[in-house]
Amino acid sequence: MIKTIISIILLSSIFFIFIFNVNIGDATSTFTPELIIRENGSQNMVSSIVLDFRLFDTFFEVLVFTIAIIGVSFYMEKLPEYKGKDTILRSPVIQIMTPILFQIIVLISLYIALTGHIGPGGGFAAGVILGTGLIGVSFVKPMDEIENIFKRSKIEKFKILSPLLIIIYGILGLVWGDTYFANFPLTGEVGSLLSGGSAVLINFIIGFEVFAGTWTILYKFIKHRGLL
Amino acid sequence: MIIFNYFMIAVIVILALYISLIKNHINALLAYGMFGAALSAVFFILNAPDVAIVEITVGAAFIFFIYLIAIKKVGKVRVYYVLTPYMVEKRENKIMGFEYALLNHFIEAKGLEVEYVEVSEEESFQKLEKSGDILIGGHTKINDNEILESEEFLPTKIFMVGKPNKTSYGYFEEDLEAKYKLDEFNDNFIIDLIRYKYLLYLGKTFNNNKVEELKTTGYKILFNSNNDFLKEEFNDFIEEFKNDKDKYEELIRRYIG
Amino acid sequence: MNLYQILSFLVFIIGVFGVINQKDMILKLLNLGTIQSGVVLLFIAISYNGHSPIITPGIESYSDPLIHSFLLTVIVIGFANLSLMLVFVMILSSKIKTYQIDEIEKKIK
Repeated sequence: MIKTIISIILLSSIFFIFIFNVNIGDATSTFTPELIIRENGSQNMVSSIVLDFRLFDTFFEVLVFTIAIIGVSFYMEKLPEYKGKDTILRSPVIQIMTPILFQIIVLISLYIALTGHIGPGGGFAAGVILGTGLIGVSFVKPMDEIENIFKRSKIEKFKILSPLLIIIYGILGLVWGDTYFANFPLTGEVGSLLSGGSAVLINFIIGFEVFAGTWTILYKFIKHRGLL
Repeated sequence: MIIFNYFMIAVIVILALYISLIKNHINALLAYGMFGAALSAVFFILNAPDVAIVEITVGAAFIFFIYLIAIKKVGKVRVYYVLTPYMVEKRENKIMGFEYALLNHFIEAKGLEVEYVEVSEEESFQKLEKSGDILIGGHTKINDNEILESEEFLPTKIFMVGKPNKTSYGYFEEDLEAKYKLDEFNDNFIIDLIRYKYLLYLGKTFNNNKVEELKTTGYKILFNSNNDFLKEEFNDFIEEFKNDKDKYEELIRRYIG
Repeated sequence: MNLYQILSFLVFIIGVFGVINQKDMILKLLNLGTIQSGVVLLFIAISYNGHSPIITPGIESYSDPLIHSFLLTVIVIGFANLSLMLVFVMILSSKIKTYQIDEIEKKIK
């Protein structure tokens, strides 16, 4: 009880000191729209910063994400496997509709990854949408089928390669530019699909990486802990 | 600012307070899902569509499901036990025995939480029906219709000494009285193998009565009448366990001899 | 100050209070997620300056796109870290069969 009262008093005093004394100024960025249209040509300013002007930070983000997923996949082996009965939903409506809905979710995620430089979206959003759509499929299929698909597609070996692909793309920037991590010279019209340099390629690499990571988390959690 | 902005601000503050004060797992998890969805709406109002898409997918769908798998507790089971030689014994405040070890294997494989309570022989069935889930103690035949029995996990024989007018605990006949103190058993009774072995270990001899086998049956575990599925799971577990010859015989050798 | 900046400070402080007050490991992790959401809200409130950062003809002032690009990666790495923390909580609670911190500390001593 004493701990609660002391913490409330201290935290509220910190809160009031912050409000009345902190001055936050306006943020005006150095990336004006004219600069982005001239050098990059994509319509989504956030996508041009993530995939062209600050590609180095994105590379390290993908690396940290891969390491976290490797950690989850390794430490989950310390728990014993789940040996209960398979709990599958047996209502016929869900068993028929869920694979159809999953195909629509795949189309939506591919669309968001493909047009990441024209509208909001991009690689990260596409990866997490596809990874979350697998939750519905895991309700209706038994555990053996999902394990078969997971082991046969060898996705655990391929998802580690995506930081390497970004590094190879960065080194190849010497070929068509004049420095490392330089962009394609493909500045088309603003708003068409072939603009923005290599935005589509890197969007797909990032989308595949995030999708493989979330699928690994989901698969390991269900295998060692059971489903509902 | 229009009314919608003030409403969203109030919802976010109330949900954040709710998450920090409630001790129930599932209530706080649902409040976190709503908090993530309301936050995504505020992100969209403040003109950030990329962040809103990622926040609502991650914060309200994926994290909810991951937590739901992590906080899953299968259930608590209350086991009443009756002291029986070789099956459930108590030495220096620790419980050991064949039936106890078998039940512990089952409970660890299922991930349940368990609590053991000792009960005396007279009130064992009443307590099982009222507030218990499982009753162990070397039962072979009961005459109660509401209590569920499992499959036999250990074969045994029933002995008849003399002309029986009482039975031991665990084997209930309708017209014979059941007595519980094993020291009174000198003649004219029906008994099962484990308790017979215990009587021989105590040093009793029955040289003026003849001992003959009545039938061959097995020991069972009793369940409450609501726990239908637990009985089915236990039956599956017993079948698997009996097929594993090494562990089964090692367990018998360690506790019964 | 802006109203949304005050809201983000409030959410942050309530999250810290939740981490101190709760005794259950799973609820502490939920309040840690609240803290991260408060930080993200502060940055979005700072960068609010006009239209959303998609170039449309006829609009002069846009929101700051540099801050949005950081926040995308913060949220994605945040949930990968959270799942790693949940793995450790599950391993710890499968040895000592409880989620409360007080009982775990008593058993370790």
